[in-house]
Amino acid sequence: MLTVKINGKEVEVPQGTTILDAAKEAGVHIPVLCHDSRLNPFGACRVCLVEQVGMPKLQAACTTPVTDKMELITESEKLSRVRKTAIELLLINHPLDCPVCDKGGECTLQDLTYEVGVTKVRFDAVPNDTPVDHTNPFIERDIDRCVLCGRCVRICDEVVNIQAISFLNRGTDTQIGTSFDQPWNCEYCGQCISVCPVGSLNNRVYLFKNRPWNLESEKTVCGLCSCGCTVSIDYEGNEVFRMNEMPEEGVNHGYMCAKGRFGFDFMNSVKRETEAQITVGGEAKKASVTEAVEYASEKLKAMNTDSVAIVVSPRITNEEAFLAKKLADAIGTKNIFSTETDAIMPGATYEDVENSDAVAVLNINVTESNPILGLAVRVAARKEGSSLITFYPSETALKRVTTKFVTGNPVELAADMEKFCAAFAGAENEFTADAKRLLDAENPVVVFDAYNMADAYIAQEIQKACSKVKLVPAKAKNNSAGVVDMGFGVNAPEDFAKGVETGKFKAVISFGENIAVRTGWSKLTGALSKLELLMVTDPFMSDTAKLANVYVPVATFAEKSGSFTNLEGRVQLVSKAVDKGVVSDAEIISGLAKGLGTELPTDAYAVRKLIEKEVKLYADVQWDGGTVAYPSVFKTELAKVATTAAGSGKFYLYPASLRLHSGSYTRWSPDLAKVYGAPVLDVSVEDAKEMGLNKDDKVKLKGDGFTGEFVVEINKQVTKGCISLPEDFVETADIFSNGRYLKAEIIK
Amino acid sequence: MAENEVIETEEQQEFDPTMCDEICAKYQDWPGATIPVLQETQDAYGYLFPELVERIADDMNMSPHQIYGVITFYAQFYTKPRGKYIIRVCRGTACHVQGSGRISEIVKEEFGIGDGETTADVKFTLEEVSCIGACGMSPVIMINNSTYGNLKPEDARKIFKDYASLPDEG
Repeated sequence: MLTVKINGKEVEVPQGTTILDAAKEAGVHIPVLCHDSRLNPFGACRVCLVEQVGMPKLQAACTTPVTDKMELITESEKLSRVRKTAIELLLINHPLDCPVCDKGGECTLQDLTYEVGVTKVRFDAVPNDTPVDHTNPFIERDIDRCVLCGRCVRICDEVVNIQAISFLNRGTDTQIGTSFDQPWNCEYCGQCISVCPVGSLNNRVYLFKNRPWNLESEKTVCGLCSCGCTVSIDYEGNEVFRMNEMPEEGVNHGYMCAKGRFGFDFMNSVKRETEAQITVGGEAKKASVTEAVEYASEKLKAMNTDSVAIVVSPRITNEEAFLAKKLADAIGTKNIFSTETDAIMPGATYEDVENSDAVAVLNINVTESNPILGLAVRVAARKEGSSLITFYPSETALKRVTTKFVTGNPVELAADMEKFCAAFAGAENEFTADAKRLLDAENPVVVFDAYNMADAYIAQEIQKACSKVKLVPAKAKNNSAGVVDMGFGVNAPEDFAKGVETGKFKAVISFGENIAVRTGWSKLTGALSKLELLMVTDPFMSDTAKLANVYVPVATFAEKSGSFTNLEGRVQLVSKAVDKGVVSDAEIISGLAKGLGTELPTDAYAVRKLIEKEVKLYADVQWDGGTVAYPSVFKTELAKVATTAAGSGKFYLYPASLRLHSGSYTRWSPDLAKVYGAPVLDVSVEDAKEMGLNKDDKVKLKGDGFTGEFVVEINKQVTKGCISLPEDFVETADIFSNGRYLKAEIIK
Repeated sequence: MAENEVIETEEQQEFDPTMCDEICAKYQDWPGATIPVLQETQDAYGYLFPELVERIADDMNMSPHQIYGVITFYAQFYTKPRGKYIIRVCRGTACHVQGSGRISEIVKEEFGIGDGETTADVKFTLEEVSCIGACGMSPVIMINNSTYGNLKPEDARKIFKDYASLPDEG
């Protein structure tokens, strides 16, 4: 330990601590501009200069490590002059357009100007007037406001590993930009916006809509995928203005993805329904929620209990799922379903992944499907001496940090993964060295797609051969794990399809699930519309809601309280930020139960108390961030699944993940839909050339049992002979209902 | 998605990436090889054009934007075509006093190019440099690796004319 004296106060800090961190320890504030504790020290802005006793030169607090017996002064006449000048110099080129700048009110430069007391501009410089860059659909870039602190470049390099922007030129010509001034294309995670200390990078979804001091914030958990990010919902009245990061908070450390940061606007959508609807004899009539619920419960009363099925979406809260289970009990039916099953449950936390020294990613584009898990994998892979092996049909964003990237068509890839798995048991093949790296590692981690049973089998076998391997099944939705815990994972999704198709089910109640676009269920639309009762709750008139006799609009995750269980099995609280004048699923469930003569609570806290009593896994769970202790990842031993591609055709077709969408929910976001509105067929450069395809060509896709028409995108990362389509779109759900390993033909 | 798009620029041209791939392969497991790779590819292709930079980025598993950052940092990397003959006119103090400004003007008169510009036939590029370390023979110019000193304006014009009349081949 080193002893350091800061402003006369002594503190003990470990070797390697910077002056800035030591000062924090001593409770001393040092102003900073270019510093971010999540990034490597940089020392560009000279705002954090401090005096060291016995040293003639000033030291940058953010980059200088302390030495023993160091004596520092952070406040002096000289320092305030130096700091003031540093800010004055930054203000030479920075336009003083604060009244029209979106950052006004939460701008670090503005705050520092106030803090150091700059009241007039001593220097006379001609301000630049560069046009604002709008090439990025989500990020506005005004390079005139840039102070070159480099935080955006550094976070894109050190955290996201995309390096979509860089410092260009040199000296006074330096600016942040892209190669050859190309349009700014990236992952759209917006991490750069979150660290920009000035108004140089702005969120285009929020741009010019409000001022930060008008906004109230509610800390909650994002409900757009299974990552479980702590975010702040910034709102005024009942309008959500942005979903913002909470710096360094939560499992996401204050990072977010495109969906969370730019996709929240669906909550404010004018396309949201406000009135319930009852459809009798093909004629839709508006109704009050009470009428709709009464109508449905009357119908339910007259039904044979075994002919009722309840489906929940993995988007609803734990509390609502629990109540839905109670409703099923009240009805007396065991037909409860969700797209999730209890076959695979969470096995490791982000911390396990971040601390891992050898990671294998099996056939999942994790930075797209679960962006924050993707960041954790990158943390692990970047560490000195650690390794990452990635299997995926095409190259992915992980390539920059991957030790070995294995691509190939899905069938070859499955064979390669089998070889990799065999290498754990001692087989000699091209993956022996890679398997050995995991076997020798202290904390090996395997990430796989929780919905691909062939990959899950490989993961299971790897764990068998190497018991210290921690498994991370990447689940899809915000409460994929929770709805299973509440009882909705016991029945296979296929049984629901069977029940509907055979006419066994006469009534289906779907809480939030958009059955019509789910892989495996999408072909049920015909049968669903013939049901005696199809009750659907959804914030929007979804494809399934259109078929319903009874539709009730419900709240999104910003409008209700409850809890979600994320892909780590971590339970986190969701709090209500706004009220859009619609009820929550909980209220509808207890309304239905009341109609059937059972009283159920709707208050989230009361329901949690019931859950603690009745759900064993949640008996002592800490609702505000505790993890559920699952006995094992796999409920029963998985059997080997054949991975031969079905059908005939020239191309291997596989389902791809999209970072801009998760399921059908985010498609209601006007901003996300603008960038990616309809499924696009990704084709490799070689195949496009061979077939004479151009970007945006419309082609027909034909396989065994499916056809479709799609727009072509030529993607240089796609492997020759492979094509991919996103899952969970109305247009593609039918295709992937035929399986994950398909062959298809492109017809021009 | 968008960032994987094949970028098509106006100057898109079919180029043979073989040399680039060979150079990059040589430096594959060499950390910090960006600069030697850029130097060699520039030597091989003449200048660093967008498709080449993309190719280097793919080969080296790097971001093209980062590479472009390096390219624009150093004065010795070029993103525009350069002439077959690089005329370096020294504009250091000694040469300046001896009238090197007039030599730059003559280049402009003969070829119509200013500092940093290249003739349309990609034969000549003018570079005004600070000092080439031959003050004793000022004013001095260099054309590729040949040095010409103690120049009177009309000597310089003759040298330029000689170069201009050289056949394209060889």
